Amino acid sequence: MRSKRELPQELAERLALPEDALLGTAKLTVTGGKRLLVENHRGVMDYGRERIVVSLGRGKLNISGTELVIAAMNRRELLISGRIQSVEWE
Amino acid sequence: MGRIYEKLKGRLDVEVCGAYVEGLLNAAALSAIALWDIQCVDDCTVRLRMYETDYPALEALSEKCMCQLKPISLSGGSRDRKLIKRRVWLLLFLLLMGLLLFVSSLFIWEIEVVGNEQLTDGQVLRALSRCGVDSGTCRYSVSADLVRSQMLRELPELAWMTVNISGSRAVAVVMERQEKPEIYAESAPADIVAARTGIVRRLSVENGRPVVHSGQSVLAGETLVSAEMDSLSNGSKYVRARAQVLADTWRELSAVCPAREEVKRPNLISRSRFAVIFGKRRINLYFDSGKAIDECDKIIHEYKLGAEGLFALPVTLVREELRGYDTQLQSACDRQEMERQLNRLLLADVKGQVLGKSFTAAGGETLYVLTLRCHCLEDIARVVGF
Repeated sequence: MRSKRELPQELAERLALPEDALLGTAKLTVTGGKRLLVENHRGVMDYGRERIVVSLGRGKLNISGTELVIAAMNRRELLISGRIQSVEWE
Repeated sequence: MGRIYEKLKGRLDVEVCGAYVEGLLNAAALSAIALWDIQCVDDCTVRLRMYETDYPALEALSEKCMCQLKPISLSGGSRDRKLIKRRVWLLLFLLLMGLLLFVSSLFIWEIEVVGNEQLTDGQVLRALSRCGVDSGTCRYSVSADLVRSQMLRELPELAWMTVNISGSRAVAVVMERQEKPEIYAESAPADIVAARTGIVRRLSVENGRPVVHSGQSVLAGETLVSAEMDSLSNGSKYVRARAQVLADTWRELSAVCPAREEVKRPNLISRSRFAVIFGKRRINLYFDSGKAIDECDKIIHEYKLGAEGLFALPVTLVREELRGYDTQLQSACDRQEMERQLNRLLLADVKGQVLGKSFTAAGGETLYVLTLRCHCLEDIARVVGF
């Protein structure tokens, strides 16, 4: 028996619907190691030139690199540019 | 357009200081405040770019997040809007001009005629006016097909025409009817007569019966070679005479010019006056419509408003330049020029060679006459059909 929290995920899997659209789960798009687009973020937890931590609701994203800059930010999307070395999902 | 919108909204560079600036960034994102180019200066400071109009909202959030905002630089925005407010009349004027330009582009203000050789521009324009295409006509009321059929009825000299309208400019392209060439029967019987009075020097007959001989004097129009020839079978037959008749001819050409003439000597008196033409209505910007100077040349300069070849406005600025002059009597004859003109006339008329010529001048107080007498050797044969 699955819990109530997992029900929407189960439904999305069964119906083959995209989870990011249905459940608002985070979606990452990395372009050439220089741009990273985070969709459905929950805010910035820590911001530095070499490390940016982004909250994803269930978990967080550690982005490491150099000359990191938040190029644009709105309620849903976060665009990070710079030299991205690693992206860690916790 | 997007750039103009952004320029009017204004871009503001702001420095944010606080223990937890990330909180302010998150709060701004939740409040739909657009932020971009967020750069970390140190652990407690970030620099970001935002719209100037969002600044009060971010300022309110910064108090909640215990951050301090410091505007650094502004481009566009309130500064530009103030400039626009200060120039509101200028903007209204530009807007009004744009509106006038748009409205005027719905009408024809300039008509050009191309392709006419025999017909004058005035004839075509008057016919166009009768067919409903005139200055001030709405461009959408003109049907090229209808105008064409009406114009072909109005001007029988036209073979085809059309009216192309672009903007406020109409171009009437006309093609004139070509006259049918005279049909010339190569074998039709014809005599050869003398084109000029003279003394026949040599007669070379190819066809026909000669009626004159060498050394005989002939008058202009006299038959030289007859088309009627003897025929062995039925008395006579008629042919097309062909011959070369070289004859000595004499000409006398005269040129007459007044001995003295009045010439203009410009004096220093000159004046300019202006007028404006709206459509067909002329408004003089001066009071004395008569000539302001007793003896003067009037030179009219017209400046049509609009872009050449693109559009025209119904406004024409007119500058009339009055240049005064005094008159003076002086000798009018230029003998060399008269001789040159007489020689030119002679060469155009003679179909052979000039054997000799002489000029004689005569004149009184009023007239000067220069006479050219010349002796020529030329072909005087002229074919005349029955």
